[in-house]
Amino acid sequence: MKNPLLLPLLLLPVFLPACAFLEAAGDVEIPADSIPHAQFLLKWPDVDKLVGGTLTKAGSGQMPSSFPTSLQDGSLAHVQGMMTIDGECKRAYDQPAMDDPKLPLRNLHVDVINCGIVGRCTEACKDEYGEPFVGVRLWARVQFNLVSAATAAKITETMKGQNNPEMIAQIRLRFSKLAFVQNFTDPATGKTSVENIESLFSGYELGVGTAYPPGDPTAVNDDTPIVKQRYLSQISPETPQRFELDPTSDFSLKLRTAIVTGEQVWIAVYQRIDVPEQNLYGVRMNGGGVDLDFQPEIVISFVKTVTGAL
Amino acid sequence: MRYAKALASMGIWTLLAAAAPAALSQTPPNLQTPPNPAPPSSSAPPVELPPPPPPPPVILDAKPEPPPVAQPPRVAMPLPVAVTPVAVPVVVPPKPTPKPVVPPLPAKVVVAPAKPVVAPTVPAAEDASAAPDDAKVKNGEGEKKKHEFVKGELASVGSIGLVPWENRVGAVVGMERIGDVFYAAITPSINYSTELNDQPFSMSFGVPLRLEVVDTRPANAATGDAHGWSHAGRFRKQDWDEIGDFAQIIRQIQYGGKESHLYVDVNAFKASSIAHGTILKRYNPNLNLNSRQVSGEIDGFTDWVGGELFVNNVVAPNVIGGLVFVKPLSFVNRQNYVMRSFSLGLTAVADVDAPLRAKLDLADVDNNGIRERQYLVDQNTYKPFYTATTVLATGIDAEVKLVDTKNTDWKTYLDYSMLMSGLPTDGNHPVDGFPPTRYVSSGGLTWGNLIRLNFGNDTVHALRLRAEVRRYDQNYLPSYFDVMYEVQRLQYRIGSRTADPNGTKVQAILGRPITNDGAAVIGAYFEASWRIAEIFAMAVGIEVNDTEPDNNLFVHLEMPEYKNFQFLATFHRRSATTAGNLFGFKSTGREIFLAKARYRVVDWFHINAEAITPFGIGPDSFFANTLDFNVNLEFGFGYGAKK
Repeated sequence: MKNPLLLPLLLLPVFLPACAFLEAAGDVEIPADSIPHAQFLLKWPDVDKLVGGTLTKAGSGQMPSSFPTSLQDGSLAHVQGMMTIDGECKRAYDQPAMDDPKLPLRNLHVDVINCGIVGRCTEACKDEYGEPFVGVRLWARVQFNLVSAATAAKITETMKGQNNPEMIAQIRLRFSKLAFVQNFTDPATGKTSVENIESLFSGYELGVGTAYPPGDPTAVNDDTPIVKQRYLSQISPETPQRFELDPTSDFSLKLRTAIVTGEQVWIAVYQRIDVPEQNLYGVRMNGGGVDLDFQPEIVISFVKTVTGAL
Repeated sequence: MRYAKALASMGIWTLLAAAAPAALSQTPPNLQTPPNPAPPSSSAPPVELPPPPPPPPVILDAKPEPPPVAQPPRVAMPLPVAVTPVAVPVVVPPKPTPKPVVPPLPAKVVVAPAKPVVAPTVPAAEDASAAPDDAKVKNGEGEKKKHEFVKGELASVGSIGLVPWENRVGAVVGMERIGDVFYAAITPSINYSTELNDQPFSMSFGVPLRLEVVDTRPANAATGDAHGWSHAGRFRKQDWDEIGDFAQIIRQIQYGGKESHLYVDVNAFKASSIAHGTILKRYNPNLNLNSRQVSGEIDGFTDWVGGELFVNNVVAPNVIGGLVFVKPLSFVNRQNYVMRSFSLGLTAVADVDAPLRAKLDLADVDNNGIRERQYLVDQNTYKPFYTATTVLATGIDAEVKLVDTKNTDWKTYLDYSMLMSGLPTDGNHPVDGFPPTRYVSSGGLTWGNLIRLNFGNDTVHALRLRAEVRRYDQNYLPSYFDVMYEVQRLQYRIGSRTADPNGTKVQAILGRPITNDGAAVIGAYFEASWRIAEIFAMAVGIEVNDTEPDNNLFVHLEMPEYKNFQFLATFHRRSATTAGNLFGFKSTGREIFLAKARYRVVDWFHINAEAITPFGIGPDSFFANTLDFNVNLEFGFGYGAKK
């Protein structure tokens, strides 16, 4: 071997691939068992609670003769009719604590938006393309404990004490179930079953944002959509689907910064559906809700830490 | 370092020990001498050149000019040089062939345009004994220097690869990445150069074979594919499962020179231009390093008419262009260089598979959770899916030579070009499948001047200047098919790191909103190249306008040979929003940086290193310029007697 450089150079491509794989190998996903699996049925609020005990603000004397005295078995059409009588664009419902205290949820807020009043509620009733929408929009927002104290400890351990938000390469949710359901009673047999009502609404969107305390005057809208209607049909236990949080969004930066602090993190999860006027009779509030089963995932990249120092 | 940091901080710093296919097996020891004038053999007596007569030179820039019939010596004499096409990156020269004493050369001889990336290596101790005569010839010993008028491209701007060595067989071993998958790659290669009918003829072939090492994509529950190392050692069948795949064994087949009556070039590396480049300039079909295409070009001309034909893929072309021209005043007087040089041309270039609207990875086929920020990409070929349309550009031009002296050559030209296609009309409600479209066209006028100067005797300094003034519609783009067309056709605003389905080049250019009452855009282009014999070459170019965010800059440097070390570097900054942004330190994400170096360790072993910013669909599934460092090993030996 005449040239002393020959051997090292021959070996160079053997070692450099290790660098090539560095980025891929440097991505570490926080183990699934470290972040609680979220599985729950987020029910719509009791419709009578939603309307505040009286069907209309004006009192029952204003109601049509055929209008039911309770909306327990009513449909969204009845809710819309009630709101139209009162001239309301929106009714809100708040539930600070969940019925099941074990759920990592709090501060449920639901808006029912009446998009049937011509000339009113126009700003709130545009579809994803900015076109006017007619029907009822259901908008729910709940705070979710994305990173519990135990998970925060695991993340801190994985990141080996570093707190660089850039290390978090990806935050994503892996859905095994995301379905809008309601109870259905067969009039012939009297048996009750659960039916999927995806075909009855449009404009579905699930997103996340900052979990401000209710009524916080400093709240800034940083909602970032994650799941849209077109993806609902892809999600099933057999074909779970991943959805990442847009890393370029303002909320993403906030969230990554919060995660690396080692504290538990609450985020707001919102969902929205638009039920067009012709489908309002098919959607009932009581007994319905969103059946969710998802796994939060956090991918940490150690390469970003290394290269960030260059 | 600042640039590297910017890229690295975006998570795109990938260190690769592998070369892209273009870089594999392409840096031989004695490679990259363009088909320059074949030097006389050592046995041939030095040719004493008589004082050059003042004939009109044979000009082969955009359009070759036939030699005048009224001057028999020039007419009868075949050009002793072959002219390679514009911006041929690296050209394997024909082996120096013993030639009869050539008749007096015309004063101007067009030589191979692009200086090779790496000039013929000066034989070291081992080589010198094998080819002492060659070494002398290449060093200029034993022959009297000829004063050649150097024309054509002086530097290999726009090329991405190196052509294998001449008359050499061997293999290049390395690793490479295609998308998210890493492969061990070995490319057996062979190269041969000779002369055929007194014209240079060279061929280079390589057979890329890839074995999977690791697939960095996450496991796909839907398909049950665990990815990772589960398929390590598997042969990549996709490389060879279609008839068209077999074209990739062609590195280069070249016959004649750009100024020959017949010129054929089939090439996997070069950038190409047609006519004055106002429609297609330095277009390189292989800038997307996830795919390989073998382009083809055929030129031919007679004394009165001529033409060029270009396809970006000899198997399944989608970019097709051509030029036909006539020199009408040659019928009147061919002795007057002004009349003889006057020509009228018609150019047309079309992309019959131009992306109109990109498809997004809404089904998350790569299972990484990124959907609307990624393009839908074939997970085997890493080619994006899109809805295609046709983009057509046509142009007419006239040119004439104003000055033609021994050391100076000045031509001027006027060119009007149009761009045509259809744009979607479905607005905010995109439809699946092919959208409804409306016809849109735009145009632009260019007045250009090309000046070529030569200085020096023993060492010729060649200077090439091109200056253009342009006036064009706001939704027009001069040189629409440019160096980055292959990637910008799908994602025009590369660097935004966001997949925009409607961000294709045809929509970005033709669909531009017209402002300021449609006032015309005024632009300018300037380019200068400087070449010192075989020692050094550099080129700079700038393209600016007063309205649109399409300002471009390039800087190119070549050191063909320094002992056992060879070097080339090119930097492009494309589509800067303002002219001022061309000179900032902040990356726009639309830069091309290409640096190649080659070190000859011993005769049978060379090591190639490169730092490049290839544009390819990578882990992020959109086009981006990642910074890659590639190293590969080159083993081989020469064969056959050197001529």
